[in-house]
Amino acid sequence: MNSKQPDPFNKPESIKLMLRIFYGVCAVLVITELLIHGHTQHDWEKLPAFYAVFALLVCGALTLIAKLLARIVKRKQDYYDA
Amino acid sequence: MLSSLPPFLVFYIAALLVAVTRGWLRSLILVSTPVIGGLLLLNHNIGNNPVEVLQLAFFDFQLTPYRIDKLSLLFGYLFVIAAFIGSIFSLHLKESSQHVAGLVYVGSALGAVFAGDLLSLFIFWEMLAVSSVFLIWARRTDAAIAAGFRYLIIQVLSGVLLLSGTLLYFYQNGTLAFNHIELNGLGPWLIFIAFGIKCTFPLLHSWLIDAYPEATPTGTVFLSAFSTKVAVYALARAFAGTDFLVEIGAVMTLFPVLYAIIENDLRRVLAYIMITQIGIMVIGIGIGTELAINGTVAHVFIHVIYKMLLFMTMGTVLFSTGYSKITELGGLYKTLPKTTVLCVIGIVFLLFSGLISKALVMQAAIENGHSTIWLIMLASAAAVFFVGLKVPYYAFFAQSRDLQVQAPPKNMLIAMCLAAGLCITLAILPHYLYQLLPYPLDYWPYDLSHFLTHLELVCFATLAFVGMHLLGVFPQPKASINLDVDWLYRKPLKLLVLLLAANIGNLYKSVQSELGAIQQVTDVWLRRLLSVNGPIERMPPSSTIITIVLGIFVLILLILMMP
Repeated sequence: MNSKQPDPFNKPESIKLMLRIFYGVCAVLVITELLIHGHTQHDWEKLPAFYAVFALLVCGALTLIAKLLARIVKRKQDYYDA
Repeated sequence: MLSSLPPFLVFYIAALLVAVTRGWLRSLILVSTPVIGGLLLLNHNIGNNPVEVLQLAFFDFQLTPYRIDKLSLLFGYLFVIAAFIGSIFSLHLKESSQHVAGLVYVGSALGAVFAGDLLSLFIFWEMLAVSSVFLIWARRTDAAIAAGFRYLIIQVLSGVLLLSGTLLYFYQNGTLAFNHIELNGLGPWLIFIAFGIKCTFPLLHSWLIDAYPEATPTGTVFLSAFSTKVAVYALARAFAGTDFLVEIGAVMTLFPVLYAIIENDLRRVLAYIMITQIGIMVIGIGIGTELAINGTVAHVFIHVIYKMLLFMTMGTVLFSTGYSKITELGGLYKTLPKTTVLCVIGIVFLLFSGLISKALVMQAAIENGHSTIWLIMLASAAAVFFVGLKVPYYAFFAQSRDLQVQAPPKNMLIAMCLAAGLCITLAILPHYLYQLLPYPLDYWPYDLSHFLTHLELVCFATLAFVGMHLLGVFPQPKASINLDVDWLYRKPLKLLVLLLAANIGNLYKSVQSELGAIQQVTDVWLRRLLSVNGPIERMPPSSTIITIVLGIFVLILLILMMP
């Protein structure tokens, strides 16, 4: 690979910029959702920023449970060969 | 007359031809077979009633090896498209064994979805198992060969259950027709469990997790598209509206995410994600309304295309580097830029599949009062996207490693581009897919608030992924494996069998020596008993027989009780 080519995924500044844009998009989405009240299917959808909070909670909770699960089920790679 | 030619036959003939041809001729057959299959299917104009194209008498059974209706036709289209993409992806392979296995496998999948009776279904069910195992064995590693055997045993077991259930069902109902089956009695339950195994129901799922990631880079692409989807089709055909399927699907759609989070092998991560999506389909079948079945079938279609794309990108990574594990990969965006983009397209398409097809099943869930199931499906949408990000992140970005990268052949890139193009087309023009669904559907997925809320869900799942990596709380990748249900037969059951095998020789020897001793004693006794004027001579005839039977019985008991 040509080293002169721009490598945006290796420069801390560009990563920082990309992350900032991403945070901005997230914020805009929450604000728009608060402003636009679309039709809802489930009661919980009426809660403000429901989708954002729900996604964070679900991912957080599952990761926590997965870490506990790993303590029980994780083995060395050659476990079945032994 | 050409239109009555069953598509499976086209693929079986092509498999024979591929076995004896080489070079461009073989490539031509490989690429044109799915096209011919597709054209044959396009010939059929199907109304709302099924058409029995081909019927056979087999002894006393009336078999229907080729029956088409709207449900099976859509699966037929999907399978020829998947076969086309898969064939192009594997064109570069020099040896023909995988091509032959692949064609027989696709043909069997087509045979199974167009089977109008349970016996034909059983035959194709077993053909699927036997042909697909060669796609695993072709990897030729010890792990692949062992995993292939385990896969074959479980798949054949599923077939045996299907056959037993079929025969019982025939005995009870006097028909072999493969239509809706009421779930009462042993026969239907055996059929249900047979479908459940191939459908990766909870606790019956480990064959997929165990075997698919051990197959060849091209083999997994084929495997991901057919077996489980044939099972989903069979379940939808026979058991739609079986309400506890909703709960089974709910477990499938969330629980495997936990394993995907801590899994190190990226193809295994994809396999776990695959089960979550089959879970959505199982929920839809359990609800069983027209909307739910439409949603299920649409989801099968979309899922096969993007899951093939993802398995192809990981297949390319495995082909180019020889690795598929997080702890061995990273930073490949520099050396495999096209594959990187295609993989990201595949993951982003998860968002659109949520809008186009999963949303139908979710709406059906709400309409039928399953509001908790709706929440679980929403949670699954967030969680699957969250864990799906692992695949592009750890393969192409994350930690840069010094890897020897072999450039992937053009045909692999073309196949991936085809799948990605199809994904994008489906995202832009979903109504073409909706027209093909078994029931009429008036639906437009891109309602503004629906789109925004779903985008929000996915963005915050991404935020969770980014945040956890920045904070360093995401489970650290380790060179390790995670025990799943297959542990039961790979450790305790194996030990038991080995123990029995080791001791069976000793057991035999001890029984033989004991028998010798007993024989000497009994010989003496028998001589005395049977001698003229002996006890037997003096007994009445009926008690003679009882005595002998009792004697044999005691002898058997003695042998059984011996140490």
